[in-house]
Amino acid sequence: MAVPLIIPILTCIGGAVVGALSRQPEINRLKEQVHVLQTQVSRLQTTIQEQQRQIEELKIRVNTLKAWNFVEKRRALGITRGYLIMQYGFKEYVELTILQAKGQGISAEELRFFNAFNLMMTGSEIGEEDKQFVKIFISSRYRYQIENLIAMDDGAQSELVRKVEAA
Amino acid sequence: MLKLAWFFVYIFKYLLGGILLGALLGVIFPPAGGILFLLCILGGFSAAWEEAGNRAGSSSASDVDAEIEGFEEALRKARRNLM
Repeated sequence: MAVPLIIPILTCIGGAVVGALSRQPEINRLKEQVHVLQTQVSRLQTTIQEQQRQIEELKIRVNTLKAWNFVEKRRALGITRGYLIMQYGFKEYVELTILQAKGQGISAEELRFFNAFNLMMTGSEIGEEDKQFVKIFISSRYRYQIENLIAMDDGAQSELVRKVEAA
Repeated sequence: MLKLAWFFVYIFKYLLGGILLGALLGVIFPPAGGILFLLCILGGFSAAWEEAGNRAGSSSASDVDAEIEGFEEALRKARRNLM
């Protein structure tokens, strides 16, 4: 009675071990990436603060453009949204790097976003479909903030830096 | 459809503004009154359509282009900062 149960259990354990081992080089690479982020915390902070400054400037531009200058106003609004998508995308990317380096599982969608964004950050060319996916993924996750032009506040920035330092 | 519904809401606000401004300009510059009045009303229609689009969350091709432009500009700056 017990023998038929042992075989599937052993198969499952074996599968899990092989799966974990096959992911180890990837986890090591991500740990290295987190280490690089930790050594560059000041650059990370500068990057986020720079994004924040740009977004605030763009918001002022959107608000100062008059209603009759609507073509320019819509363009400024679009550019601001693009900056916000990048800022929240960057936040998500850093958080997913930390999660994966810790060996925690992420969803298939998160993994697709991470891979595409990682290529973007390294300056590699990615397909139009992946670019669209990155935009849709972030826009749906941070819809409220992007629609209302709300950038990451100081608290969220500090929290992100703290996560990197503690990883 | 949602955009059209919001358009009818905003049209009152902008059309009223357009009519008042147009009438005022018509009094100040009587020879060009008719054309200024018409332009102000058209401006009111345009502004109402614009605001309805913002409210309904619809985005045109030029909005998408501007978003891509903003995203890529921010990406370039982030890469430069982190290098």
